[in-house]
Amino acid sequence: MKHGASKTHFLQTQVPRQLLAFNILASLAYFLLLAFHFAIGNKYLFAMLLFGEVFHLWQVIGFTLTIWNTECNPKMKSTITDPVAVFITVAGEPVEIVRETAIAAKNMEYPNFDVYLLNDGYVAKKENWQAIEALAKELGIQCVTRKVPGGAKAGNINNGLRETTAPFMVVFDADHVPHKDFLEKTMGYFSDPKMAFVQSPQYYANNDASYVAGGAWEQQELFFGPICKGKNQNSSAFMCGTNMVVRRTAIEEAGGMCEFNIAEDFLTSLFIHEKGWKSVYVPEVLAEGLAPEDFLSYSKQQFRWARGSLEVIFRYNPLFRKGLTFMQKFQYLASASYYLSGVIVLLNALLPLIFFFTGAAPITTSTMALAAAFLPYIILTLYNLQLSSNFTYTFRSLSFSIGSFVIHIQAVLAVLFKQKSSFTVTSKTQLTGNFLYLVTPHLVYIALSLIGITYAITVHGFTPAVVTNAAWALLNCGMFIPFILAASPLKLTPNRETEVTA
Amino acid sequence: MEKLNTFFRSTAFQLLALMVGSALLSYFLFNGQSLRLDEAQSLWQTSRSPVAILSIVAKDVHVPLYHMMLHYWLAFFGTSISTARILSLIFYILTIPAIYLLGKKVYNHKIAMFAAFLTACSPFLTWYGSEARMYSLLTLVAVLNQLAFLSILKDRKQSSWVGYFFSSLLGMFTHYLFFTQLLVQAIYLIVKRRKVRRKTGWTFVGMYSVLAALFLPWVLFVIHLGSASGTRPLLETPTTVNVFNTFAQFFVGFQVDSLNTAVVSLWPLAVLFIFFALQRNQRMSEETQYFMMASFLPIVIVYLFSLAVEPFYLSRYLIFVIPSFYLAISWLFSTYGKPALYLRIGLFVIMLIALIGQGISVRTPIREDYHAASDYLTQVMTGRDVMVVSAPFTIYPIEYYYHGAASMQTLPIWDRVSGTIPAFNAADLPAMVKQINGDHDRTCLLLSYDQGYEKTIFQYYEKHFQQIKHQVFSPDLSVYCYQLRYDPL
Repeated sequence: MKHGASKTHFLQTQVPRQLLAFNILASLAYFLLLAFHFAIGNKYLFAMLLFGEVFHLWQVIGFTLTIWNTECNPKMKSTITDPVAVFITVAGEPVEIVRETAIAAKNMEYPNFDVYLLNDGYVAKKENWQAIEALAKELGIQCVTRKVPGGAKAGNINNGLRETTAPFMVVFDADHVPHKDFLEKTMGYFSDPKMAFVQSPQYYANNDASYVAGGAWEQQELFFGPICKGKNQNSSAFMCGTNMVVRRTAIEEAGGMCEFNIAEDFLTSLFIHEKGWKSVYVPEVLAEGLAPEDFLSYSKQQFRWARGSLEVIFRYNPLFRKGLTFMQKFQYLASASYYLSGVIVLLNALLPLIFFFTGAAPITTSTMALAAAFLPYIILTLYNLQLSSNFTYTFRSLSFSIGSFVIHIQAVLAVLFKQKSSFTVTSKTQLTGNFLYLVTPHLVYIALSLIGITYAITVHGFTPAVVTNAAWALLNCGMFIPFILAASPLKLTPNRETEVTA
Repeated sequence: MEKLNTFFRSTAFQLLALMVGSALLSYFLFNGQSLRLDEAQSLWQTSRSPVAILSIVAKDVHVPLYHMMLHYWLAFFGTSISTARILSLIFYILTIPAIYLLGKKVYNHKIAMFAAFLTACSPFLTWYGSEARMYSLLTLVAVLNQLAFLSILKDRKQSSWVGYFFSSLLGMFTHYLFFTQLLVQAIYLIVKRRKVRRKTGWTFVGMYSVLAALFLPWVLFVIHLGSASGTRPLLETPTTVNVFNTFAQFFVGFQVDSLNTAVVSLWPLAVLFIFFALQRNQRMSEETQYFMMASFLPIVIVYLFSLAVEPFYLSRYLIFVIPSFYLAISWLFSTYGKPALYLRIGLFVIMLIALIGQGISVRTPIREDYHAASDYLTQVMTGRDVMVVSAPFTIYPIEYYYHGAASMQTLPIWDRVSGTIPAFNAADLPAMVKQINGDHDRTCLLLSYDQGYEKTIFQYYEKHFQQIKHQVFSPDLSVYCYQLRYDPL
């Protein structure tokens, strides 16, 4: 496995609290100056800008409070030996990938467990469903092949629960190869009778396989590093679909894995938490999986996560759920609302374009005053991001987050208009081709920016407002570049480890 | 041949080439330029005896090291402005290898050399490297002081302590604002107290105490003198625009307002460059954190002090932060990987163009062409005319160049023997003008360095006398000539 050092790097984090406090203060100062001090230009554009900044303030506060303490780990006892059913969910993945996972699962060190291949290949009409059954036979493990479809992955797990009796279940995606000590490092937390589930990182072993995989992993590092660690402060770690151990009674009390949401793990966690159960995130790589290696698979995965999370906000808003603590509500909302950022990115990106073609601006205050308020806030935020992720956060991951705005907006629309979305398993093999059509909005934005800049300079000349708006537009274009490159058929360097400067 | 190749590739040669190139460029761009107000003050002040210099400099709200050096320099090599400027040029040129040494000490050859490149083509540093003032000395001392400071933290050698002590001492007596650099270092030591050995920390405390004790006599001397001479230009309360202009000037020097505004308005791109620095495992080293602090904190401190207490925000007073700033920029670029080369070349070319533009453009905002103004006055004025100079202290550069027959006065009227420039009182203006005019035929009013009353004086002359000539010599330097009487005596 390559990049061994980086396997644990993202998990070693703790940002000084003074810096976090300064970050919140700088964000508040910027917001208050913008909202109440700066001269308002066009009131509709100002409302757009302010709406975006309210969201950014919420994100900064959410992130800061989440990572306030990332070293809050519950204690575990290693004496638990209760039976465990290890589920490997399969829905058409290549047999060799499943084989590796199944063998690793069989080799885990724990006195009392059985491995099951939860084979959904038949209901998902995959050609290799029988090969999976043959694999189970070959390896001496059990295979549960569903014949009645429904509920996608959640339905498959629920079926597995019905077919077994063990008080604990482990879920691995077909491509997530567990370490030998997975159960030893997780089962001990269940010494607490209120502990419902234990989640471990979703590490991508193929993060150097492609440019897309690298970017996807770098995004994951921030989430599975400081964010998940911080959620242990108030028992709000949620299930991430794989590499997790769940107590049967807890999930049964919550009605099983939620089959009516595309992000079943997120919503099921919420249902479990509101019944008063606890959860814990183990900051240690205990299984290694595969990231989407191509842009199409990445886009589909992002859409699925976005849609599922947004449904939680629009249909099962944590604020109005009974049984959750205040901080659990806050954490669920903070995580789910991340996917609203697409709308904000679009609003912010539109502001310079509107200025170029109409001359209307949200504020008319000196651009330097805006800079004086904005720069400390953004620099502190970025520095804290870097510190919290132990310097694993990159421009590429930032670009992937910003560039995904179209996917996130599609997810918002899908939720609002109740469009049907099916659960599709993320491809485990790299699809080749030109996916530039997926970044058409980004390319159009760049074209409009260049036309707009030319037009504004022609009409108004090099005024401070024109230059500043041109710089904002170029900033947005620059942010889109790695995302566009990822979609292009270019062969890009998958991963770049920068040498540490003295 | 191989030896020659090796020599050309050596760091020493590269630095030497930079130094020679920069010196030649500075000489050709600036040597022929007019004496500036501050330079005229330096020449006048340093032409006195050493004891008198101390008193004059103290009243001029400065510290005396540079003036004393210039006094003896001029005594040895001659009193022309070119000679005086060469001293500044030497300090500036020495800053190039000094910043390289600092960069090499902290980072590596590449980062250090790029910082040296930036120093060599910096329009801002070049401008003050060609001015007979203390700013290039201040920059050099600041670099040496930082070299010693970071060496102490890195190696704890005895020689570093000695270097730190003397560079601090020199800096304190070069410019008052050097204290902000020492303050930033003290703040850095406090912030990083867990990483600084206890003994080292206490040694710093002891050293600061000794330095304070050595500076105390000067403070007492200034207090003893009582009042400032009023020869310092009027400074307005700074705004955030001043702060951003400072950083723009660190890159492109002094450009016409429209260009400067365009450069400053590009600030969102700075955010993009910060985003670019988000690279895997690219940590900000302790030294980089120090350079960041040393680049920004003095500016913030001076800005806040100017808002809260008294305005004294001038970008040239903050010239000593440039080495830290260039090293921080150089480090930032080093994090970009392959694109860094293009960015380095781009920045270098932009700064070089800005430098040449600043040197040759007549619209350069801080250009002060007292030479041309004096030549013009020599040409148009006779012994029956009177020249009026305002602000009063601008009489220094005019005196240097003007050799005509007309008498010379200042508004408000200033008796330089008594020292202090009197405060302007609009009610006294008619009487002062009447006293100056006497029975002269014509008067030429030379206006520059508005001290808050330039408009009042100008309007008074416009209202009471007939303007016969008007000429602008450089931004903010104009001559207006008026007919006072038509009847022959």
